[in-house]
Amino acid sequence: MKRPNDKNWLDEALTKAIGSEETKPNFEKWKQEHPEAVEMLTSRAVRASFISKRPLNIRKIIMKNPITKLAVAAVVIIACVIGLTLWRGTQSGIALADVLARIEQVKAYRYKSSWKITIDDPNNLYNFEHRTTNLVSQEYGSKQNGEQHLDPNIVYTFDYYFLPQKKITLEISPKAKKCLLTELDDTQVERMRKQNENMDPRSQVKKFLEGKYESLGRSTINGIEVEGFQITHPTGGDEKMWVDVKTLLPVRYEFEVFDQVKKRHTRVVIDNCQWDVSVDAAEFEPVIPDDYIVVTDSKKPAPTEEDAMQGLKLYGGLSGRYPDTLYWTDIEGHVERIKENVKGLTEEKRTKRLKDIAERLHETRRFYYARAKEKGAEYYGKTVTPKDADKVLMRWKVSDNEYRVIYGDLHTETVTSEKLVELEAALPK
Amino acid sequence: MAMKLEEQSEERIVEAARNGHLESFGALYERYYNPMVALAYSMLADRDLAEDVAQESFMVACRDLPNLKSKDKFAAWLAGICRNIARQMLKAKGKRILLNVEYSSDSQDGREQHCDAIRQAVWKLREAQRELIVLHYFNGFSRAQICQVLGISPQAVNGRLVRAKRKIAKHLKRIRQDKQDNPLDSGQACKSRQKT
Repeated sequence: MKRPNDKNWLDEALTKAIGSEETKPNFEKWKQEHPEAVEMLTSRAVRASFISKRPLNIRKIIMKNPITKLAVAAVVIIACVIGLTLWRGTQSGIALADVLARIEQVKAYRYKSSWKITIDDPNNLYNFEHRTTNLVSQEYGSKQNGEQHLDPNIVYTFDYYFLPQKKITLEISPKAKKCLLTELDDTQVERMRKQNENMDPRSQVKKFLEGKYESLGRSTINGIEVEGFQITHPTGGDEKMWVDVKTLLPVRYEFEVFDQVKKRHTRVVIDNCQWDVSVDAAEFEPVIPDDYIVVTDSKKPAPTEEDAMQGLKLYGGLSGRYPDTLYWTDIEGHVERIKENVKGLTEEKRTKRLKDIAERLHETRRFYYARAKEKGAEYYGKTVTPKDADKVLMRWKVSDNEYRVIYGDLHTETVTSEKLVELEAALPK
Repeated sequence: MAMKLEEQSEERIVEAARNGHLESFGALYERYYNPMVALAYSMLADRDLAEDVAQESFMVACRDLPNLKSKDKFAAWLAGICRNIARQMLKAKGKRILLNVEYSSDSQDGREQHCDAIRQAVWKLREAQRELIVLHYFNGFSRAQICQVLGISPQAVNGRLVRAKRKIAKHLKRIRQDKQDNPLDSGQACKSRQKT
């Protein structure tokens, strides 16, 4: 050891006493141990690629579209409605072929729609309303702003984009300050394009050619001279369409039907149609505020039934109940509400655990919504608990006459349609 | 040709990381992980805990990066996060860093005793001086790095370093004096121990 009066002695001594072997930082290991950070960065990168420098105007956009598969279905119906502009009636002198030729020239159009369903059953009162403002562009995709009323006290407002060039759909919930970004592969983009084609008036015009309709004569809507047409379906329900006699383009559509069995009244109205609108590419560039959480459904493998149950199992095991809904905007809120049930962990570990549960529930959500539209999936988490071994928690169609059922205690079974009716009749209201 | 990450200015790397560029965040991690370990060590006197704090600091930085106002102050901003987490950890563990000098009958290598005495002297310094000493001697970080992490000028680093070393030297001189004035029984050795 150097003598104290050697001027370097202290440096050497300090190095010896405090000095430490340098650790090589391992970012890969850090990423593995902090997947939530990676997700945060990835989401931010995705958002940055879509953020426009324009001032946010999302809040000014009419918050009108619940972004659910139901909304897409509604748009499909609406599109069919637009397609129903077609009529075969010749009494007016307006030829369907002329309407078709005119609509085929349309590159972009706007319209508003409302869709209302009520059930007049004292045991099952139901009131659903869905209102949207839509913009469809052959070049850029489609955009909806809307709101959905599930009951008088709950309104969901959303903006929804389908952007085929970017291969994504984007759902934005200003109320939840979240957005759901779904990356699509080529197959999914084509599937959505086809859905949109069904919404394309040209496809509907062609389909309508096969229908029979009668003229309602001429009238005026908002100062526009129109000719009205009606189709009455043998199974019930009326469709009406009014077409501008000068432009040969639809002005208004109505559809109304009452289901005697389910006592369900459905009314769809499309109006405020604007055809041949010019669109700015910027209208299809969603603006996501910095304080929004971005949930990304990237091109992950489709969740399996087992994946779907895992989220339910974790949540149910902790809370003794299931999430009321599987809406993507609600998942984090559901998990937040049960955070006190996670005991015996440090704050950091508890946060990680809750995050894991939320991710598993998102897989449940993805599984469910992949089946909601085409496979008639239903979810009864609001009324069915883990103790309800004989009650249907979730079900979806697997064949013409069979449904796959997950019961409250998470055992599964494939049942016939008839059996499902019995099971669902026994569900709590 | 695209610049390599290390050739880009730190501001550009920070901006890219802020926009979610994973590789850029990784570059920042690799650049500042060891300094954060050193900084945390200066507060906790425990290497393992210091590494935990350093890792957690980057987690918080990842979350809060959009809030960073000055891209050229990333290192100092990160250091602030690191200090806060280290303080929280101390509070959570209900511990204080204590350096006790105890006399025991265990014999101890003289050099080890000297190291302990030096550590004791370092941990008696005020936080700002202690940080600087540890950063300087822990892994031999450069003056430039220390300036960035502490957010102070090279002149301030030099001045603070000189004053801190003077204090340490004074403390060691006092210990030596105490030993001379109070000779120990044979067989006893001065043993310093860090307590957390």
